[in-house]
Amino acid sequence: MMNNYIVRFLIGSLTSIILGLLYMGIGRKFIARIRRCYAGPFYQSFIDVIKLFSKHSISHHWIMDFGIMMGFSGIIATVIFLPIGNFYVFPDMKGNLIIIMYFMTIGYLGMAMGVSASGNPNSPIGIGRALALMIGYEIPFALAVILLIFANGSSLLYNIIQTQQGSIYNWNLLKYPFAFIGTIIALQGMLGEQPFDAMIAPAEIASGPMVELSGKFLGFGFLQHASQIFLETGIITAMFLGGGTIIGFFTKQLFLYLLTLSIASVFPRFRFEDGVKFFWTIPTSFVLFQLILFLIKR
Amino acid sequence: MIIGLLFYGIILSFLALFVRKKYNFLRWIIFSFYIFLTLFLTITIGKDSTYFETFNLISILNFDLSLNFRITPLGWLFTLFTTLLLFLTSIFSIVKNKNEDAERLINFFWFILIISNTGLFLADDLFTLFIFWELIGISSYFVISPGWVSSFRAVNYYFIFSIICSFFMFSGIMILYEGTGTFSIQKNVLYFISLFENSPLNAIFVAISLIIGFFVKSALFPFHIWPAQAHAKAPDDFSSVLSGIIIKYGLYRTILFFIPLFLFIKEYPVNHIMVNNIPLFSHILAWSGAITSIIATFLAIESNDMKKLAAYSTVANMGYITTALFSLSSFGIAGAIFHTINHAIFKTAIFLSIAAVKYRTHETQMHKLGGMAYKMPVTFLTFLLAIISAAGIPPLNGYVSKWMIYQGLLSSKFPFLTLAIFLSSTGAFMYLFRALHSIFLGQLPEKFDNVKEVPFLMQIPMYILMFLMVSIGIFPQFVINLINSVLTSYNISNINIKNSMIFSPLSGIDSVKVFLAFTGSFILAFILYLIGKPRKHVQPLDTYTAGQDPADFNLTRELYHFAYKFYGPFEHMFDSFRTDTKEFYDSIERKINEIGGYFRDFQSGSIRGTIYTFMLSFVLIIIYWWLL
Repeated sequence: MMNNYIVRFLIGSLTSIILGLLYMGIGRKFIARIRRCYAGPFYQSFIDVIKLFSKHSISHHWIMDFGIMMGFSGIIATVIFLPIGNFYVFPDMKGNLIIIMYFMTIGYLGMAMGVSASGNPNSPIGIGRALALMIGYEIPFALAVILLIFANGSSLLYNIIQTQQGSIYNWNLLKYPFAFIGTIIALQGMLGEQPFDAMIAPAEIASGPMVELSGKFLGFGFLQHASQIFLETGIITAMFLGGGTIIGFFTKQLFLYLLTLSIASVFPRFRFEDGVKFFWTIPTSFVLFQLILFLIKR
Repeated sequence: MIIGLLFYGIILSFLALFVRKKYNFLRWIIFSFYIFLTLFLTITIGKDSTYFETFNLISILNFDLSLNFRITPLGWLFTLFTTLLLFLTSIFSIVKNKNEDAERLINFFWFILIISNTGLFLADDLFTLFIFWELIGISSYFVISPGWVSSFRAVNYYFIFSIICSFFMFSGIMILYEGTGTFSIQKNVLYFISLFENSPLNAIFVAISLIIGFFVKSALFPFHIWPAQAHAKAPDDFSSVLSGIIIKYGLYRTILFFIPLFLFIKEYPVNHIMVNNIPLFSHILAWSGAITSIIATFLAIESNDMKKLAAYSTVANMGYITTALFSLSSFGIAGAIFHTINHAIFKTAIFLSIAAVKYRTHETQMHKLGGMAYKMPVTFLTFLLAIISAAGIPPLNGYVSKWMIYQGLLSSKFPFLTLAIFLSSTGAFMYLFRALHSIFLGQLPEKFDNVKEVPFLMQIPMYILMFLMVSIGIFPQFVINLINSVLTSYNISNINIKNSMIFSPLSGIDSVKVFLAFTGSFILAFILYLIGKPRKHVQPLDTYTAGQDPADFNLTRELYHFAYKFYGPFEHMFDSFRTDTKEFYDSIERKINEIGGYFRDFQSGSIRGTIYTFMLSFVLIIIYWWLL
């Protein structure tokens, strides 16, 4: 029983890391193609992580170590609750959406705590921007989640996927197109891609949160970002694109990630307060429109 | 037994007055001992007993003024957790007040407070309830402002709001008494329900007069500003009691009166306006909770004083609780009661850790602090766990109750209330992290280089609170089973719970598995950490000056602490929406002063005139009575 859980846990977490890194590598090549330049091989991210873990690193306090580990483990723990194709780590909690939304925050909290303990003022500036943006994109995303929970009468991603099976016309993408548009914009903010990359903003605050990270700490940051890509595209895939089998699920995730990157590579950066305003107006009204349509129809 | 307990409390409180100032701590030890006794008795009596006790105080003119006590599941649950938390706070107070040059009366008033706390929750009639209610108001008035100028104004806010609250409550109780001729809570609640059927206008007047008391006491909008004044200026150990416990009294009384009423209307909705299957009045109350939580969240994001931030966070949490309570689903009510308990626990933890920081640094402005975690690790861990719990992040206790609140709101189809809770919950994460960063992380200012961790006796309550937060998060069934017995006493369907697995209409969670998922991930992270090449410890300033002496560049650590106006641009977004509620109340105060000044001129200060006026009004009252 216990061994079974451990094996499932390892499969889930390692899949998210490996595929997340793979998506990152493919994403780099994709951006290079858009900009008509060259990128490293698609397995470049793996090389980067291995290299980072084998380098010297500096730390300012045990809280920094603890925070970085907590950030990574928070995202991994969230991936455990995500349905990966038709694979579930916990068969009695098949993708509990509320838990997923709240569990994600412990990853952010851990990362924020770790980099704050590094003492560099650029890190808390970046974190402050990230958290302010979070209150922005949470609103359209939460509305979309509420809509789907109402429509399905269940807050399990498993049930949401089940109702979309059969044909492409059952996908929530076609049933609730406006909600999908709003959520895609929210995804842009969740992944921290342009135009919502004010928290990283290399030219202003020197990569923000990551400024003091070196060696294996930066490696953890890489891994966390990789799992985060896997997790967040996975949630949207399950919510709107009908989940699917293992291969279909990964393809849809990759499609979503590349869509995000293609938006990112043509847009400049929002100031973060403008970003919040944008999130509270355009995507929110899209999702709200869909929700009101749904409520009227019901 | 209950009367005996209260009676011994009064005797002990007088005994403690005679302790000499040199042995100040003895007074607080007596106090802790008494609370422990109360806790022990509460646990031994047990929730299921039908224990009843009467004490004939006095009876004038058919007015039966006796003190009645009865153990109900709700009252017992509230007594249990408030007494437990008061006990933890009292242990903290022993050291804190040891060297404090406080009046010995403060201890006396704390005693009155804890006696009234027990009396209030176990009261069986409205008269007893009101007496203890008032005692709490008066005693906390003196505890908040032990002769300090700074807290005098704050305490006046608190006092005036309390008086308004008791005035309305008293008039409500008196109208009910007129109908029933008895003070018994059960009969009065039944009469209250029948009043809604027979004469709705009267009933609405009673309801409003009772609900205003609730709004004031629980700091719902538009009375949301007094906690920021009173909690912030109170003595540090008392702030945790104010914020964790005293703010819950209004909620307790509201559950007593309004939940049976609304559930009755929900069941028989003839002649009533219903919105979304709940009464309109209940719906309005739920919305006022949501609005309170949003406003308080944004005020908390803006505040720079750590105690104010925590006080606004309390107001926001009262907002969630109100919203969940008046959504009237079994998950909503259970979630509200559970969140009340959880909030009391984590808010006590937050305030005690703030008090610990203030005990060592004498500073409450967050941007002047920083880096305390490096000096006070236990306090830091308490605060960290408390904010994780407060933000509703798994696997600590806050998430179970928040999850239940969401299940309640979503299963009874309230999209916009849910959204409001989501918004303020994410905002909670913003201000809580800001507090964590500004107080405990970042750069340690040079002046605090010699700060030490607080004494061990002060750490004990923190360890216990951490244990409570973690264990309730992993095994919520112990608390939920207690709440289920409360739900049974109100004829609400129970929460379906099997071991640690909670089943809701929408989904189910197993908190042990949630905890194991996090632990497993942390172990994975730790293995990766060990695989990586060992780290090297470097002083923070060394990296900025590339190894040169930071003093050559006039660099101090304080310069590198980014904490002031942490969300500055974000706050500017709301500049055009900002209204000053405090200014509104201040203007009312000025108007009242003006009117008072008019009367003062009229009386021209002669004592004789005052006496004549008094006698005249006395005679008038007697004539009025006689005529009636």
